[in-house]
Amino acid sequence: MGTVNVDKKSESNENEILLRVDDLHKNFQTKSHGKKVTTYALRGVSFSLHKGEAVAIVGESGCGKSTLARIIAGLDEPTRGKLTYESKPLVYTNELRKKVSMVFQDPYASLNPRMYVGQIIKEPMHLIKSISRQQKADRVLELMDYVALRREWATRYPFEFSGGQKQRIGIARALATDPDLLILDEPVSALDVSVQAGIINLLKGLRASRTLSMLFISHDLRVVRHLCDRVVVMYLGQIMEEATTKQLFAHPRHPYTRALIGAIPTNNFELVDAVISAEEMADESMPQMHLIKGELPSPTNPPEGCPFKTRCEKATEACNVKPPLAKMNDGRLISCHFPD
Amino acid sequence: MSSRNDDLILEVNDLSIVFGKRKNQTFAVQNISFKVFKGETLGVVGESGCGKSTSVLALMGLLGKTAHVSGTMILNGKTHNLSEMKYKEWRKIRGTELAMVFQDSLASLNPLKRIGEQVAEAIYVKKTMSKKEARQEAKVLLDLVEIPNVKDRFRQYPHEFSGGMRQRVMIAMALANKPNLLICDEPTTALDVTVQAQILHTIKRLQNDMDMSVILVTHDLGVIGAMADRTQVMYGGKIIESGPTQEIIQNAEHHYTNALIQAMPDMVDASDELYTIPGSPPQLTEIFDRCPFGPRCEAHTEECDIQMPPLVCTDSAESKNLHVDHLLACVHPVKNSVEVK
Repeated sequence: MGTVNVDKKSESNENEILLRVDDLHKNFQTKSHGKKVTTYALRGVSFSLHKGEAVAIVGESGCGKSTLARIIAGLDEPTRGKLTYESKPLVYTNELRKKVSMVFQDPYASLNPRMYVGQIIKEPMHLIKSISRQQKADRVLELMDYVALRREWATRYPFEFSGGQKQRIGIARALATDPDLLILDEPVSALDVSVQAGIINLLKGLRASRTLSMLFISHDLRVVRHLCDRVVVMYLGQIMEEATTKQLFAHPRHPYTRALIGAIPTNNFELVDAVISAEEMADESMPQMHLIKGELPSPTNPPEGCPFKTRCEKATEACNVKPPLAKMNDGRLISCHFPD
Repeated sequence: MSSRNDDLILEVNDLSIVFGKRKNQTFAVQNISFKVFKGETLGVVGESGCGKSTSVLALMGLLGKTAHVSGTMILNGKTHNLSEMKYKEWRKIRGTELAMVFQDSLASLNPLKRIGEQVAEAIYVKKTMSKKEARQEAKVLLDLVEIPNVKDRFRQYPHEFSGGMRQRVMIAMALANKPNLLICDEPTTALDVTVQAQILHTIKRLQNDMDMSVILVTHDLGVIGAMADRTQVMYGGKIIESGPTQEIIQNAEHHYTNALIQAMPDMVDASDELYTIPGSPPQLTEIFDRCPFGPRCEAHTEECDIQMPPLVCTDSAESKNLHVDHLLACVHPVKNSVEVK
C-alpha cells in the first residue's frame, strides 16, 4: 500500500523545470461610481519552479501573490501570458488535476461543512480510476495517519475540529491524488504560534520524504525561512527580487526586500542586523525596526516606472523608467537601478 | 521596589472573569494580579483563548452583562471595585485615565460618520471644550498620529482609509483626552509588516512624548520583544510568568513560555524542527487548583497537581542572576533554557 510514504526523492532531477510562468498579466474590471476601473493585479510576472523545489512568493497584501497562486491552480484565467507545465502549455485536464493541488488559507471556509472528514479527503480521488474503492478507503486512513489525525475521526464533521486540525485535513485532501506540485496559499497565517509550528513541521517532513514541488504563498518571511529554497518578492504585481532563501536573509539587496525583512519585529538579531543601520539602532527606546514611509499605492493606478519608487529612500529620476529584472553576479534577479 | 511604587499607575488585584451560569461556566480569567508603572510598556502575550483580551476589556468595563467580573483595580491612586462599578463611574475614567485601541479598526469606527467628526466627538464628549474647538483639536490629533493631508482626510469616511490609516485614527481617538494609560489590544495583527512597523513606531513615539504607560496585548512574541519593557505570559486564564522582556525571552523559566519561544519560526535555526506542544489548550470549565499546563508539560510530575503554583520569585533566581521582578508559577523551572538568538 506504500503509496503515501514512498521515498521518491532519490531519482529527482533538480534542474528539470516543472512549471514556468511567462510574462503573466491579470487585470480585474470593476465598476466604481458608474465608471469602469481596472485593477492591475499582475503586471508581467515570470519565474520558474524546478522539480522538487520549494519556492515562496512573498509580499504584502495587494501585491498579487494570491492571484498568481489561483491562476497557476487554474481557478482564474490570466489576461495575458503563458504558463508551461513540464514543457507543455498548462491546461487542466483530469490527468493534470491529479498532479497539482492546493491548500487554502482559511481552513474554516475551504472544507464542506456537510461532508465527513473521510469523504473530504477521499473526494479528489475520483480522478484516480486505477485503484479500487477499498484501496481508496485505505489511502484515506493512511493520509490521516500521515497528517497526525486519528483514524476514528474520519466520520466526524469539520466543525468538530480546531483550526490546526482543519488545516491538516486540508493538507491530507491536497495529498490525496499524490500530486507533484502543491500550491499553499498562506496555510499557517490563521493559526496560533504553537499550532503553526506543528503545521510547519508537517510540511517540512513532507518535503523531506517525497519529491514534491511547493509553491508557498505567504506574507510572513519568518515562516518562509523554514520551508523554502528560493524566494520571489513581489510588489504591486511585479517581481522585485528573486534569490535563494539564504542569500535573501543574509543580504537583501532590493530596497523593498530590505524594508520587508527589517520590518519584522523580532529578537533574532541576525535578521535585524542585516538591514538596520547604526543610526536607527542608536535610539534604544524605539523599536529596532527598519521603517519605510507611506503605504502601498493603489493597484488600480500603479506608479509609472519602478512601482516601489514612491516609498523608496534611494529613488531618483532614473526610477521613472522601469528597471528590468536583471541577473546579478551572485545569481539572483533584481529589478532595481540601485541595488545594494 | 518601594521607590517604584510611587510611579504606580495601575494595580490590578485578584481579577477574575466568569462567563455563563451554573453548570455552564467558563472561567476565562482566574485570579490574576499585576501592576503597570509610569511610562513603561507592559506586554501581555499568550495564545487564543488564554484570557489576555478578556482581562484588558474588563479594565475598560466593556465586557457586558454576561460576564461576572470580580477584583479591584487601583488606577492613579484611586481604588475601584470592578464588580460594583456603575456606568457613570466608567464614563469618568474611560478616555481620561485609560483608553483603548482595538484590533479591528473597521468594526470600531462608525461607517456613516466622517473621520474628523468621530475624532472630534471623542474630545467633545468630555465637555471640556466647544464643538468648534474640538474639531480644531481633532486636526491636531490626526496630525500627531502622522496622517498625511489632514485637511482632506478630515472629511472622508472610514472606508476611504487603509487599514494602517484607520488604526492611526483609532490611536488619535484613544489619545483625545490624554490618558496616562493606553491599552492596545492586538493593534497591528491585521496589518502588513511594513505598516505594522510604522504603527508600532508611532505608538512608541507618542508614549515617549506624552509620558504614557502602555499595555500591549499580542500573540506575537516578536512584537513583544520590540516594544515591551516588561512582559507577562498568560495560559489558561492565569499569568504563569512575568518579568523584564529580554529576560523572559532569553531565560524563559516556565515550560510553556519556553515552548512558545521554541515554536517561533524566527527564533529557531531554519534547519531545525520547531517545537510543538502536544495536546491542546485547556477547557476553562473549572478554576485550576493545579498547573493548567501540566497535561502538556514535559516536566510534569505529581507535585504539579497538588496545587496551583503561586506566581513568585523563584528560589533559583539568585543563582541564575535573574531580575527580582521575574516571577514564575512553576514547580520545576526550566533548568537550562535553550539558547535563543
